[in-house]
Amino acid sequence: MEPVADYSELERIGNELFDRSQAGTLDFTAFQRLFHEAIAVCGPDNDSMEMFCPFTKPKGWWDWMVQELQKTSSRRVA
Amino acid sequence: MEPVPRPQWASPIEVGVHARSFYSALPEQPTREVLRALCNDPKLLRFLERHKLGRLEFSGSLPKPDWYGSYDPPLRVLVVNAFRPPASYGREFDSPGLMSVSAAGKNLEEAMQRSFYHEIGHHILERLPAQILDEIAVQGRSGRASPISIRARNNPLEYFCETLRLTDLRTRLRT
Repeated sequence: MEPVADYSELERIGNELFDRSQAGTLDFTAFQRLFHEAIAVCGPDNDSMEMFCPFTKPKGWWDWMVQELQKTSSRRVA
Repeated sequence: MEPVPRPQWASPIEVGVHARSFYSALPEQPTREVLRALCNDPKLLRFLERHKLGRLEFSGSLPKPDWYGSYDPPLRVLVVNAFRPPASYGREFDSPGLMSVSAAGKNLEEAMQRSFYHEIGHHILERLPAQILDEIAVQGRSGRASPISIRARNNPLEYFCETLRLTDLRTRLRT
């Protein structure tokens, strides 16, 4: 697992994801911004990135997330 | 290694009842060992009867190979990583400094059991009304609750999913 630079930053991102989702203000632009902010904090391979999965319900969001993740190389192949 | 349909190894999960299908890339014994976590959890099995999973899979088919599990809400596809590196489990249970509850699994099977519960947590959360999610958030942010892991602090959904496995273990210890 890649080192996480700042856990409090991941908390901020995760809580903004949740709060926007609950308030109905999590649009695709906000989702993309938060996703890239999280990658900048912990890297795409980190299991914490799984926290984005529950928010991929709108059509196309899951596919976009997976494509973005697979643009980046992984250190290990399963 | 590609996952193969293994409905005959899925007990106590019944394909067609608790999940639409079951695939595993692991041999029989470790596959059965991971699923054994549900044997003493009739409430969760009843929940899965009412809210069936889609494809349940133990494999490396995750968005990233280092993820421990994933849950795709629209399709209800739940994947648990069967090939996570040994460095990702076998840690001391030093809550709340533990990265995730699954990291304290003693071996691969136990780590997978914990990740399985974490992902089932997301499946449960999908079926809860927004008001309950708000209540989980209030509890998690109240200062009265101690997140069990670093991962549990990420947001209220992760708080619930990380705690779910521990709740099950405590229930079993009491019975």
